[in-house]
Amino acid sequence: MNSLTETTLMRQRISTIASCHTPCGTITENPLILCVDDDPDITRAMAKTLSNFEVRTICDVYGQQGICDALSAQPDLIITDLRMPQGGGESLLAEVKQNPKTRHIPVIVLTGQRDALLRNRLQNLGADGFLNKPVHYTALLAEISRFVTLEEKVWESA
Amino acid sequence: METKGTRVLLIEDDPEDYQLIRRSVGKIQSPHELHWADSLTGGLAKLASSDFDVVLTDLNLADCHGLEAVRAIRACNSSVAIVVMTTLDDSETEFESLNVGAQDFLVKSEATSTTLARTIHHAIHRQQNLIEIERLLAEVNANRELLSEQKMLLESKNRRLRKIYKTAHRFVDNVSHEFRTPLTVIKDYVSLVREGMVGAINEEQAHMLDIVGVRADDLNNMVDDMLDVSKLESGLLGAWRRDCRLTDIIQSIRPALEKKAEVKAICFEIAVAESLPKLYCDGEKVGRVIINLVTNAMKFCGEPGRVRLWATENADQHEVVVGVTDNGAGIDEDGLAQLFQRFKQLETNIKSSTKGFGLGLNIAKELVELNFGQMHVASRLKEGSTFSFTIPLAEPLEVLRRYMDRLQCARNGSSVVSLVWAKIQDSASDTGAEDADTFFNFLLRRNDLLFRCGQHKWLFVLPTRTEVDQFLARAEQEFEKTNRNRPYGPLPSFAMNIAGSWRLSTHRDVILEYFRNATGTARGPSVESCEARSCSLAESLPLN
Repeated sequence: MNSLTETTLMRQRISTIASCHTPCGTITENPLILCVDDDPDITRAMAKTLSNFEVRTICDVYGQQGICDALSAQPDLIITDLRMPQGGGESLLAEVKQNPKTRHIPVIVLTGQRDALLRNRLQNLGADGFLNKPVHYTALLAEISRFVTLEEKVWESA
Repeated sequence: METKGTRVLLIEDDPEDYQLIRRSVGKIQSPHELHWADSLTGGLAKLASSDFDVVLTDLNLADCHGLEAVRAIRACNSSVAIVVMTTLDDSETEFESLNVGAQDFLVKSEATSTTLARTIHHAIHRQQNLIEIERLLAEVNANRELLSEQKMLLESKNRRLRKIYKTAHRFVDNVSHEFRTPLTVIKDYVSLVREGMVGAINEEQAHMLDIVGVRADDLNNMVDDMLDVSKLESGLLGAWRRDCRLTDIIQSIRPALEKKAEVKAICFEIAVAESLPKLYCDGEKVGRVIINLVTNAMKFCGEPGRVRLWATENADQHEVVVGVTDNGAGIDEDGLAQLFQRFKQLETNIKSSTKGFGLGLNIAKELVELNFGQMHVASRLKEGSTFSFTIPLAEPLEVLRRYMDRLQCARNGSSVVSLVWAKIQDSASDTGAEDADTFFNFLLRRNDLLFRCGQHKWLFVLPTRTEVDQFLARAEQEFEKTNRNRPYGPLPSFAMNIAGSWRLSTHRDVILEYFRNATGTARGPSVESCEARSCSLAESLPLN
């Protein structure tokens, strides 16, 4: 079952990359954003919101997957949830920030948890940004643009 | 007993002695009713068939000899008083008789009416006392058993309640969190459709989607309120206080509030100057207060509704006043008094305050106090109401002063404050210093404060004395743990030293003075001299 899920997810991921990459540019040109959340509805909405911009997205559903993709795809930004099965956001954050190959990648934590001391803990682990769910899309875009250039797709509306 | 006469049973096998006693008893002034048995068996039979107050018994009976008679009588009747009549002056037997159940003894030849009356009276009295003592003792024992039984019951009940409470608390937390995910999805997708990202929509559709969004925001605020109440009740509501800009706080909550105003056709104005000085607070909590006050104002404003969010600096008090003014019907004096009563109730009974003015205002007040501020309300009938609150400026001394006020309030003045310095090497890089700052912040627990005094020095304020050593140990542990997880170079090493511990009730001003000197000098030329002073000051003020 695991391998099946994995394959399905892999296919989904590839399709996301494909659908988000603009026909006129090459894949490597646009910034790559890795979104990790165990609720695919959330990552899909994020990808949809970001599809208006010149960025590519990868959507993962659990922490372990995020760690793998961070290594292999070398995204320019990671946005992750905290509470997830199979490797939560904190372990993803710790892994990414411990690995010399990934530690330069900024990580934004997007969580529904409201713990006053949580930010301190995440910051100490190396989190670069912190947002509370539900987040208004303007606030999300503002936070993302602190780390990657968000260039609006002009040609698509034409 | 005196009224119906004292019933006396004499067990005596010598008829002459009986006559002697009978005469003496007859002369006693108070009424005495004498019955006679000439053997122990006969006496015991009488004793069994009717009530007597006292038994006078000889020890030389035909069917029994010596103290056995006393034992037999006592075994037959536990409540009657027993007086032993002896012929000889045998003190050993006399005293022994007391041990086996008699109350007194009397030499027959000395049995005048006076001595007999007195002996009988005392024996009865003594026996009554004894019975009373035994009764009380039995009661005490029974109560003790009952108590220990109840204690066990209470303990197990307590354990159960604690468990249930914990479960309930965790349940609220989990439910709130579980709410958050679908809420997030609803918000996200409504936004996507509303912003036309999946196709054009008409004006009416846009308006309806706005309503959905606003209602989802309301629900999200309720979840926040619920979480806060749950944490308040369990004493777990903490704050992440730091230097904040009010405009930044407002910026993050602005879209939702403006959307709400738009949907409800309320004129919502934000008059907050960029130039306001920095505040010291938990930005998220202050944001929640503003959301609650604005939401409340939008609920009670007039027609057409006007709500104004404003802020002014109150330099004298080292604080900023943030207010929300509406053009509603206003609250009369009774209402205002009630409003504050409800605020008061919050400390003792949160549940009773969920109705009426709602959870929002009550929580807002708690959150304001958590940030060392105060809540105010002013209202004029038919003109509107203004709810306002204060937040201290980001001035360490002012923050410490308010922190101590709050601590003293919360703990009835019996609290202790410890100051702990943390210092990294002057040669540490800027990045290193920032990492250390993050690390020191990470060490904070609820009710701890941290001040940065210059580039390489921090001051922890801990609301305890006994746990300072634990704090130092924890800092050491976490330092090693954090360093193990940092391949990109270790944190700069730091030294911590305890400046001292003081009782708030007696040394409040001393702490402030020390803090003023310490933080003042830290910015100046000599950090070392400041530290040296700190030690001597601490030594001169042993905690007592």
